Amino acid sequence: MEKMKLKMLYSDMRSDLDLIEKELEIAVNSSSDLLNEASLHLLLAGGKRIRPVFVLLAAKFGNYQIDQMMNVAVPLELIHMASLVHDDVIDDSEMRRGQLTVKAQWNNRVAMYTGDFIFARALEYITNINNPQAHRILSYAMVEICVGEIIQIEDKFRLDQRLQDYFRRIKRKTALLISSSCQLGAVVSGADEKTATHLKRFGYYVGMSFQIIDDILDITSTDKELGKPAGSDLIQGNITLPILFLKDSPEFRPALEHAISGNMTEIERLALVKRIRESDAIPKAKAISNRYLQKALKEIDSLPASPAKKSLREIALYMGKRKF
Amino acid sequence: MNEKFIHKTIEQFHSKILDYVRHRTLRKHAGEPDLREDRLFFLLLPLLNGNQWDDEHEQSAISVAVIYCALTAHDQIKELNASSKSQQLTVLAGDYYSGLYYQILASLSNIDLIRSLSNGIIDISEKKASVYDDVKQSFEQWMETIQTIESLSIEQFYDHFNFAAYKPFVRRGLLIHRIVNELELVKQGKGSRFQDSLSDSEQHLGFSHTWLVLLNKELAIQKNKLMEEISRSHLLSHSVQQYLVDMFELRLNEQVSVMRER
Repeated sequence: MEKMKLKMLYSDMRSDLDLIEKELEIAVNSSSDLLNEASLHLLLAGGKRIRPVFVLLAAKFGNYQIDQMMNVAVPLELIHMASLVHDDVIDDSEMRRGQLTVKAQWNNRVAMYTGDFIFARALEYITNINNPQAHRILSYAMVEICVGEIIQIEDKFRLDQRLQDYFRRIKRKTALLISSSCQLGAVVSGADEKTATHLKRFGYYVGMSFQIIDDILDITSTDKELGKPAGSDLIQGNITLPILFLKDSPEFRPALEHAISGNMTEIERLALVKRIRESDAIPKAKAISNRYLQKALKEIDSLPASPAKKSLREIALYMGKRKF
Repeated sequence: MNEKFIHKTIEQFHSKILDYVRHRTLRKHAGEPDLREDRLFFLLLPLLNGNQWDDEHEQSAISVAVIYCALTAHDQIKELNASSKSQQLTVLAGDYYSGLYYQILASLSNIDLIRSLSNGIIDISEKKASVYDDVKQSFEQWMETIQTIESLSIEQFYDHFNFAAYKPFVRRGLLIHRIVNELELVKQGKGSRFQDSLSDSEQHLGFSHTWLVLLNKELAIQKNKLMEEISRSHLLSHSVQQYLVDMFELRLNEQVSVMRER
């Protein structure tokens, strides 16, 4: 159902997105059978392709040429893919999108080389864009994303963190690449500076809203929907927004401490997830996500007239209300 | 430029790279990046040999050194259990260094070099994956594989700045280093994925000698060729020649002789 909705939202861009999908398959083609198989395994597992979608929509505010935008949209999705392969090593994850991860199917080292290969391929593609500003934007984002991930590891298992720490972390972890996708679409297509700034801010707000929803879904979705146990973030020590709302509650604190200790049984996990779902932490987190979403929609209002405005609005609204 | 000065220049370059990649958490948990002296020497070879060297050369050489930091960080990830904090941060160290190399070259607007080096990393990753891919190839092809892994990024740096005449030295020098390392592992009774791949290829294709004998022979051949190239070269200054000879202990014609069969 959710996938259907997404398909409908993308329907205006279908032919261009199909081209990007084909190009992604070409991009992960390697002379190494192993890297080929590992990269395709990841690519065919699917994904929402939100970064390419935002690149294309943002480019519609400039001189839109699909051949050119392909060289931006493809690398952004590849960078996202490469980071997922490495994240699965860091999180010791066996499953992603209902399939075995590269590290689980092969081993950690193969996952390292697969990620390095995909990342290098992304840079190879983006060098077809001869605009130094675009490279400065992307390289800055890539460094900051890593800094965000390093902070995430530092903050793991630490219940005594502030909301500010969480927001700073998700800004780098997710919002920055979405924001950069929008900004790059605008810059490379030659949209004016003011438009590029609004699109960059739009991407940032949507990215923040998107990650908060992602963190909520980790608790509210079923194991089957997630393709991994609900509450995995907490078990892995990642303190997300709903948990931050509960950490000082005497009713929840002992259970949360127990959860991050790594000694929680399956029955305890299910019971805790149920309690969190029923708590006010979920509506509170949703309200914050919604606040970011409203800010994103406000940025759209400031953009020049274009049919892409409607698509940006619909996709942003979908992302704020998605259920998977 | 005498040998003392060469050493000092390499040390200063080493410090500069550490300044670029410095990150408190990474340093604490993943350690300093791996910056081997021989790699830094080859990166600086044109400068040490008196070629024109400006800020762009310097920054670009730093970016290549940062690539080696990135790739060697990922070589340190354990195949099966990488869940410790130190391993997690080593994964991120590699990614962080990859971002930094791109950022350095993006700040120089050197898009051509970004393309060439990314292309090289694709090749290097494919070659590194070959030891996990049940690849069977001749001994000579395995030597080419490790030559690519060890020296391709530096060769691309040379190509980009018209220093291609130095390529034979880095190719041979870093190959020798790798062979010495592999033989050292054998001596210590430790294996490696690369040795397993050589052994598999030997069994399937039938090498002229065992892979260990061939590896020892290859070391001797490469050392002799490097010595010949150095002594015949009109390109290298006397102090650079001497530094190379000392670095690879060529004067002693020392050969690690590990003939123990596995």
